[in-house]
Amino acid sequence: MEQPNLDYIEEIAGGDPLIVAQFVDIIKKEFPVELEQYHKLIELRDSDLAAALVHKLKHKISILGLTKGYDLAVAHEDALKQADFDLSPQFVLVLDAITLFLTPNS
Amino acid sequence: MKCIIIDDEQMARAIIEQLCGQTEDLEVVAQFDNAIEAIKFINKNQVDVIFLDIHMPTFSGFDFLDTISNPVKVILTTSDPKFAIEAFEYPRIVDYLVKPIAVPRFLKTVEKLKSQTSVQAAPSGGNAPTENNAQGKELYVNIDRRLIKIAFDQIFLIEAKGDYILIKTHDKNYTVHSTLKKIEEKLPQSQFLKVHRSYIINFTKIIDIEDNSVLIERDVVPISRSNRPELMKRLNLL
Repeated sequence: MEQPNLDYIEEIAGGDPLIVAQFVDIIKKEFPVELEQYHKLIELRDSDLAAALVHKLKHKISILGLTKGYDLAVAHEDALKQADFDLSPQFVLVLDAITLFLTPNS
Repeated sequence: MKCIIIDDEQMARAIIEQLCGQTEDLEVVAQFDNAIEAIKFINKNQVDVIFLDIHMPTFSGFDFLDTISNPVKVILTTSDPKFAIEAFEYPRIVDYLVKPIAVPRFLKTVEKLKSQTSVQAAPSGGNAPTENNAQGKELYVNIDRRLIKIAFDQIFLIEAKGDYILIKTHDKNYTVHSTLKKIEEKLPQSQFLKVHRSYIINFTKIIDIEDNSVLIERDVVPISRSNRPELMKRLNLL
């Protein structure tokens, strides 16, 4: 399984550890909220809102260097627009990897 | 240049702010997580550039573009490359950045922005011709006994078509019984230039110039050898 990394964030931050930390804090703040929303929308079978949320998550997935995860998010978003939830279990694995990455001392 | 960032995702706003901070040309004066608040802001404050996310709940980036009337440049930011063609139908859009935005790509956008702004800010300096008799910000054309107002800023190209001229604007084209010579007298020289015996362009709308042609909006227009020196003189060349 592909693992998240901070390469992109470090590039944007110009290698400044304080700025990297600020970016990571923002992800730590935004991601759990979006993750919870995602699970709720999948449970409610709300494909339109779930597609919009996956679109948003897609950015964070790419920021964390998950190229395969990003491709899966694109496919999942497109499928959700057709009310197709089949890719959700696979997508959850990507989200789990991010959760683990953001968890202190992981 | 004063800029604002509109994106419902905080991370996206933070990245653009950081990128803007890496160039001396852009100053982020405000950030918004929704377009409505941004509209209120730009109605009261001077803003030169907007970084605009397309995908936002309730009021999308395209809704925003359809709403604003200020002469502000827009750089679209999105995770979705498929809207690029639609995006460039809006004349105010300078560039289209696909997230995650890479530093070199962002710097290229800033250069593009600067070149467009400098072309617009160089009206009649140096050897540029003085303003002609054009008055106001628009002209009226007679079509089917109706006088229709067309703003100069909306015109990007005028093409001679026999006894008629075709005035091209972002929204629509107008066929008018007139000549290029006549309309040339009505247009501000700081904005318009005859580049060929059959074409007058609004050179603030130029996208790029290659050899003997200029890309303006979606049209490729020939530049005649005799008109090319004047065009080059008017550009803010590095």
